[in-house]
Amino acid sequence: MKEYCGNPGRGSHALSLVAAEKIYECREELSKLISLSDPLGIVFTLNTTHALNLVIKGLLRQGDHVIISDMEHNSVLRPLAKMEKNGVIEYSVFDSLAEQKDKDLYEICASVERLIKPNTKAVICSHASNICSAVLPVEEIGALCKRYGIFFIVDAAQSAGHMTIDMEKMNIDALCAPAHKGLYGPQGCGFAALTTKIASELDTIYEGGNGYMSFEKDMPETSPERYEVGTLATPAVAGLLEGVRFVEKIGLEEIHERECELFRYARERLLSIKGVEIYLPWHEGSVLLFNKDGVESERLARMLSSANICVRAGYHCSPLAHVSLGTPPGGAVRISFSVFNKRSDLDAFVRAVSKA
Amino acid sequence: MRSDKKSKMTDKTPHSMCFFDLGSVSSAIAAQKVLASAAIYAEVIKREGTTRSGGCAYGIEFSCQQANNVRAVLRSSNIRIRGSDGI
Repeated sequence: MKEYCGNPGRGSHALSLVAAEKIYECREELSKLISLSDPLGIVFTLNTTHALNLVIKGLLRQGDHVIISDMEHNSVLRPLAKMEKNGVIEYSVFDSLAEQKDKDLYEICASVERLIKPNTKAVICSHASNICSAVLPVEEIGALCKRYGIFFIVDAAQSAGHMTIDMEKMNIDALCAPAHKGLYGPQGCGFAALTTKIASELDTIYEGGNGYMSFEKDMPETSPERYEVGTLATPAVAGLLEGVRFVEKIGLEEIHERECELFRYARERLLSIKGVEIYLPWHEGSVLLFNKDGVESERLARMLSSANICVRAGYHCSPLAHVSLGTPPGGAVRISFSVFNKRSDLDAFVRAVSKA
Repeated sequence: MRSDKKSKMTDKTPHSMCFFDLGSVSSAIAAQKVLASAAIYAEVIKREGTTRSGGCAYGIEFSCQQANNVRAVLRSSNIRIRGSDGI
């Protein structure tokens, strides 16, 4: 707060430049982490939802068609539902086959391909589900999009910092993620990573000051200032930068393995409790979704809270995913792991679930 | 960075400085970094832009002797020069 209190891209004083340099450093680190060739394609936002709205509403035009997965969060579903309701676009939902244990990745791609129309502008899908351990085959879907000349937009809210992301290799045109999950940054900050190709297509959804060419009424043509209006959350971006460096220091593979190890341990312990059902127990990841027979999910979450265990229950803003997984009315309980969790945390958690 | 209200620099003596208008501070910092990796010193400054009706802009100031090298490095990095001064 003391070092980065200057407004980046506004003044010509030292504090302003120091802040601008810190923000640029974060653009560089993020672009390296996700293999985006140009750091100027990193656009800072308030969160993933903000980033997805920026991309979705900036890209889609009257008459466009979009394909999304059945794992999507309301951050994707609601903007599209509103645009469809207003007669601007239409969207279709493909089956991610998340509930199948031995799914064929190409079968998932085939379910996407079947929905492609001449006016399909984009495929939008989560990399990893926010409610369970399902992971979508983004590399294969990206290849399909490339073949058809369709934009590929990925919601990486649950995978950034947890799993390797290579925008180039995965043919991702836009990737949206938050600071506060796997990247260990503060809340209220996120980003959209845009390739040059999609950045040249996006209209702005916000207009306003960005510190230069003040007499021009139009927003600049180039990213990131075209999409970043008003003062950026410099302290939050500085926090995100430290988070990204922390992730790089430990290493994505190490983080992923530690989380999977915790998943395996939690699975083994939970399944020893009578009446516990784990959704997709065969797929290891950074989140685990479960229910306990006879205990409504929100009630179970409150009981865990009284044992100082913080989980989220209900539908997790992902109605499509809950329908796909077939969770009961009231949803389910989600636990999530980080590199700071230990087996002893899970022992305490399992004891609390046993008593519920 | 420093505040700069200097008049146009047309003197191309070894110590004269030239300016490329790059628009945003992000582009100016990106330019400064790619130039540094090419061993060319440049300073990020904010000043009146080169398009008269626009307003202020960020850009880089560098030794006029390096103008051709700077232009080549920026071109190879796809950093667009919006205008120039002193060249």
